[in-house]
Amino acid sequence: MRHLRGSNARLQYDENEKRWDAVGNSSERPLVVAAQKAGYEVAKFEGYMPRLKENPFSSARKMMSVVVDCSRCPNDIKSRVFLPEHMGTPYAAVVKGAPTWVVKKCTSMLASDGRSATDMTAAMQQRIEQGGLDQVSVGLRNLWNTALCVRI
Amino acid sequence: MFGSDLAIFLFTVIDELSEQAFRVLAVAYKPMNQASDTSAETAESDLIFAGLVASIDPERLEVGPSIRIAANAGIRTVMITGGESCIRDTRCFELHH
Repeated sequence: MRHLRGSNARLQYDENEKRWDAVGNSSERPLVVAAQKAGYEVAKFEGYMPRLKENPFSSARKMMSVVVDCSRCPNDIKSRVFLPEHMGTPYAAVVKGAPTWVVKKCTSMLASDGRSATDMTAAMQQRIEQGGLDQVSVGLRNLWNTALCVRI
Repeated sequence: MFGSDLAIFLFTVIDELSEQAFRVLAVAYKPMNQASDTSAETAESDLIFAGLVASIDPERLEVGPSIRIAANAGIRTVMITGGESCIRDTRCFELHH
């Protein structure tokens, strides 16, 4: 998942408890555990996409980011992470943080199948035009599910 | 860049998740052709929104009895949180019951 490369938490399997846990801050631990459970081999991502730079979280930006080198990432892994049109791109920036702050930095948005991206305003407009606030709420729930299910 | 419609859209889902005491993060990314400039300003612009991730940070149930003991001893408890106010309210409600 994309957020994997943006997380500092480290994963470990507790043999006694028979469950995954992670070492790190409490916001990041669930992210790496969820990625592992979703079938991503967390330990291998360090080698697939080495980090070139981390811009640490600051309260002024309410987000953190990393720049990773994906040039040596195997294609089968890369195709799970990148859109088809971006397969040849050697680097990537991954950002996570407070939703309202991160969204302001976005110009497009992944489709629910994670295989294409559309202009942010148009994608939002489409969801909003589907109805009033109740509808928006349903859309948001879908959006959230998408976030958890999307091939990041 | 975005109108108030988007703000309503996002605040609705964030509130909805926060009310259930979820911690919500947004994840976004972008492909980069070169890595000569890796500053926050460059890395954190023109992004593709990937989605929201919600996680649970369970309340420590043992806090309830501790607060009660403190209250009986005449000690006033103050709650300090960086979370949304609705997270705080949910937490207090859950601890109270």
